[in-house]
Amino acid sequence: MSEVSPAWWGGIEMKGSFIVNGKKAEWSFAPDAVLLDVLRNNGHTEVHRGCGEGECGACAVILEGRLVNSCQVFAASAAGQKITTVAGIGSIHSPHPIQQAFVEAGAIQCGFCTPAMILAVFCLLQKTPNPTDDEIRKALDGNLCRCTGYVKIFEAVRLTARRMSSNE
Amino acid sequence: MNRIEWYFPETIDEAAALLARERTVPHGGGTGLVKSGLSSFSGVVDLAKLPLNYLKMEKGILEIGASQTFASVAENLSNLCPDCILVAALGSAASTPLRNRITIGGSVSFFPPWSDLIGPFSVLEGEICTEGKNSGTYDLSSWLANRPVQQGTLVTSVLLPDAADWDSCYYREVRVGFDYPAFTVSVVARKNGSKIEKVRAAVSGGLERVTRLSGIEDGLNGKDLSQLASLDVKKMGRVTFGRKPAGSAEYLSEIAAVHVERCLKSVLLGGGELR
Amino acid sequence: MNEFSVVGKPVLKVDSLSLACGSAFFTADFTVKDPLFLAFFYSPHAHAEITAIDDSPARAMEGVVDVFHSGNTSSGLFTTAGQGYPEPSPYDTRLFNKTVRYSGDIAGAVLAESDKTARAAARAITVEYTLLPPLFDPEKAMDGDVPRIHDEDEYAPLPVAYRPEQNIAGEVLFSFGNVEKGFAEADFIEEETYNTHCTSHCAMEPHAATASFDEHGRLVIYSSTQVPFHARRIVSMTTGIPLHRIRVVKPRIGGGFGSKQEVILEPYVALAAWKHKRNVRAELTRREVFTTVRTRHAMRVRVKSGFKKDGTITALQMDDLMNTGAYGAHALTVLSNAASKVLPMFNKIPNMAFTGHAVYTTLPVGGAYRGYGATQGYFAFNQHVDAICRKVGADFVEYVKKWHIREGETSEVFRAIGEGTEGVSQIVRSCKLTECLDRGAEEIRWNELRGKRLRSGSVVKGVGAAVSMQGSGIAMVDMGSASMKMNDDGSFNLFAGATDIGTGSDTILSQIAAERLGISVEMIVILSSDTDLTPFDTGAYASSTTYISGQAVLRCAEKIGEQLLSTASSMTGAPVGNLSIGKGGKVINSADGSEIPFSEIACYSMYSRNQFQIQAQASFFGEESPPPFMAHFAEVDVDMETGRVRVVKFVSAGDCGQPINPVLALGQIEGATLNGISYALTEQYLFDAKGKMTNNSFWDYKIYGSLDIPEVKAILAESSEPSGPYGAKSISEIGINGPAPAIANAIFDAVGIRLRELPMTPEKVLAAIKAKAGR
Repeated sequence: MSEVSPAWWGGIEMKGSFIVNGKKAEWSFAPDAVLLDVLRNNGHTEVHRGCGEGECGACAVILEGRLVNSCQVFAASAAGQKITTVAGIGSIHSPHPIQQAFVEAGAIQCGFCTPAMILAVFCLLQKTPNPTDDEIRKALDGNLCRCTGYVKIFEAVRLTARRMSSNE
Repeated sequence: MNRIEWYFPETIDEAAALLARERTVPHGGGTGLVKSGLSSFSGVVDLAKLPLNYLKMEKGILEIGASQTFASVAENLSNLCPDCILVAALGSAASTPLRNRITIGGSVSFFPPWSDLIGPFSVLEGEICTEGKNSGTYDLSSWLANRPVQQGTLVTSVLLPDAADWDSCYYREVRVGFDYPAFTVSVVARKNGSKIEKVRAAVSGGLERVTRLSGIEDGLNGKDLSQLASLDVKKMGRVTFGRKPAGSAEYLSEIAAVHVERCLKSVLLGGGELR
Repeated sequence: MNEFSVVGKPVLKVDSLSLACGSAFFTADFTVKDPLFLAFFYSPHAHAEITAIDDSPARAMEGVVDVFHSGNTSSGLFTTAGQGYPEPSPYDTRLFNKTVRYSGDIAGAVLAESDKTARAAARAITVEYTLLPPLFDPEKAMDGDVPRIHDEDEYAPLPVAYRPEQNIAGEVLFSFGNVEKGFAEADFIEEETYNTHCTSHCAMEPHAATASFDEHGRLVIYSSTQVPFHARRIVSMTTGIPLHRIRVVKPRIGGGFGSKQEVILEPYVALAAWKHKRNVRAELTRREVFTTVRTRHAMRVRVKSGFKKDGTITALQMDDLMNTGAYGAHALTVLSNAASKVLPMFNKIPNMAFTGHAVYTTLPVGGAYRGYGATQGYFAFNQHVDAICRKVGADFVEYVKKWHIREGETSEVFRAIGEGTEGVSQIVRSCKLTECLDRGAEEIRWNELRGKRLRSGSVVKGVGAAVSMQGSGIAMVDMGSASMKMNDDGSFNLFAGATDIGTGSDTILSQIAAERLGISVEMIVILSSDTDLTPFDTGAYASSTTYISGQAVLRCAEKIGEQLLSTASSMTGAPVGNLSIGKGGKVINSADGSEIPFSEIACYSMYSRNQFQIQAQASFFGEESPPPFMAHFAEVDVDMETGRVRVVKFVSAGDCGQPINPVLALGQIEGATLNGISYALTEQYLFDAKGKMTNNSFWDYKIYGSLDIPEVKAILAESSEPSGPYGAKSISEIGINGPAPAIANAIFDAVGIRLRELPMTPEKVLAAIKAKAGR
């Protein structure tokens, strides 16, 4: 359910509330603003702009449980919804197992694609805790990485899956 | 910059009324409007609150609400009807995060040359249901032929009256995995022993957005499987293309026919389509 | 077999947790107070002179602060190439050129209160052009009757061949022996022409730069750069801002691959900021990155060799024509590398000649891109060798094993061809190429698959191979330096000029320091690439960081070690000769086995007697450039009916000396391999008739993603380079040289057709298959 109201009559700004990483925030934005810009302009620089056209995946966030390219979502249509960025699944003080596995497997070189890639893995493992390689490929199909050749990213996913399933 | 109002109607009637206004456009959450921008509109009707996010299958009749995303359709159908050609087509379109936003309604309003929906829609002989202005039920060719009918109307659902119990094969011609197709090949068939009860085949992405291969269909409907060998599929499966970044018109036409042949063999004789 | 504690171990990359958690900052992530935004407008024409610019509609827009263009802003000539000074690239561009030389060339810039406003204002500006004839065909560039791209006062700052009157941006001529004599002695002559194409680096982070002011009014530039020190120098040179008032800081970089070895945005943000005394941000869109930033140079390589029935090459002649585009950044040096990194591979050829020209055209600008000319040269070289092998009935792997340069050997080429300056003679001291070939061949199942053309339906299998070498920094040119200081708890700050662009140099430099001092990497706190805080380093290019910056760090750590021992001696009275650095942060007295912890030494030196700060600095430049070696193998399936080539498996086996960090080294190989594969098969620039790039987005510029990756296996040979820090050589570039030729050779193995033009698209493959079948 969205909570959006025009800021003032005749104005070109809208206001909406967004629940980002569990915290509610009220932000103003232009009617044609995309979620990527609204997030970045309000401190969430962990969401990256790689192309602005939905083609690279670097801006991906989780919106109401689904991985989406935030550059392809109007902020107005995301208002009132739950958004998770990579900062919402773990922190430098208390990393998520996926973040830890990426570090240990050497799956991070420049790190620009990493936040979105980790969210893609997060969504995959929620649905499919023990994915096959084909399932991994498909889950990451919208996240481009130019540095790693994906080899160690796949290793990180397998490592996480092994660890998380042995913890159950 | 012009003032843009966002509306969040809760009923179809409300939405339809809003869309009858000038320069007012529907938005189901897909990427089309984000890409084209809002500068030529003064109103956006957000469809999120409308009861259009459903999928029902009863007695082979498949009805999909306009707000279903490609991902949802693929997931729901892989439970209800896993062999349905839509599972392969919508499940491989674009990319994971894009499939989570592209909607049936948005896709149908737009049917771009690279659509993964149009081929399966064509062979399953789907219909488009709309409300509000120009409300009605349209088959694909009348929908495509009559662009003005699409303006201001609200697509509420698509109906695929005979969606189950087909053997199917779907192929999309892409340069890399995450790519829009230069063309797609859709083949569905029903066999009874060695007899082909019915077969439908379509190629999308040509100069005509989608082409049913009626010559091949006529040559095979009701015939024995062995009839396939006597058809010159590579010639009959030829569709005219324009040049695309993926290849010249001649090349695309040639290999589309190759893939038509492969899909037909895969569906009728078994064995996977070689990618 | 070396026994190291930290070197050679898979130490976790020091910045990866912050990158995984989103706490790391890239250039566009820094917030500065009240920024203005800079956006560019570009020429739509391939070649034109700007006759008038009406920027009034832009200036009239609310929020627009300024408009910069050739009508109101002049600068001297310079090169954007991030190289040592004076650069081997011609000074042939200004900040705002009055003559624009490719579709996409910068015509001006708008400064406004928001990025959106700046871009809207840029679109509102009217520029009047007098059209000039374009030049798109590099093969015609040196002819007499074609347009001259540079006819003003352009010049080369170094005494190198530069003849813009013939559209020549660079020239390399080299020969020894007598090739005609060699050809006459040959049983066979093989001559073919190969063409490579221009491609984009596609680093995931678009270029960005922010110019801001510190509390003293000094300019602080955050930039997505591989070359912070060159950037500082070039900003000062082009804008006139005194160098000591400029600080350049490199934060995390989202990939470079050479695209950020270029000083593009920094001068503009600096200029705008300095004029208005406001913070200024610029961030290119992905579309702009394709055309505003540099590309890989397209190159035509003509190879002619004479060889005997037994395969002995009697003469080799190479003629390269490189399309450098509208400006000559990196023109001479990329061209040089196409020879200097390729020709030494077979160092027993008695007669050799190389002719190379880099020519101007009115197309996007070539620049530095991983491989840097070697990639293009090896595409031709490896197919040529494969063809020779086929002719004489030799196996490619055995043939290369027989003829490649070996440890203890040299090549005339090293001395002859440098990068703008003289080359440097060197002896190869580590070369495990034979081991790489053997291990790679086994992994790809070379003997099982080669020549077998295993078939499944219309799909035929083939395997192909390629070899390459690169360098480790530019000998006698590249310099790196580092400094260290000690802290109370026995930890050290390490300040390195070296630039980590995602490669992990912060980590491996910390490992080198930690190894020397017998401590763990956690006790090294590294800070890199800040022109105020870190000493000089040429930057991340030429595969220089491990070898050159690494040696600087090692020497610095050695000096620290000496101070630790002498302080411990003062503390204990023990003679320095009895003392040594132990493991785990202590000095050991061999006479009585006693240990003095580093922390005690630190506190003694800082607080007790004869107080001084234990600190040191060191610089290093390479007197040689020891080449890494690599053998690359591809297994492909070719669909005879559609021309589709699928890489099933790719094996890259490399000798990088002692890998400082094997996980990072393998990561470099894996990434370079995949980049090389899509370079070979799917990436390309498409142009319209007017020279405008038509596919400037990932929509139509295709790179490999997770759905496309073949099985990739990277192998590191056992090796050690005597002149390298702990035996290390470089690794980051070489992996990209192999895929295109290995895949081409594999296609030949499968279907008997040789593709000499990149990319090897399905349509081209199918056309060649049909041509061979006479259809």
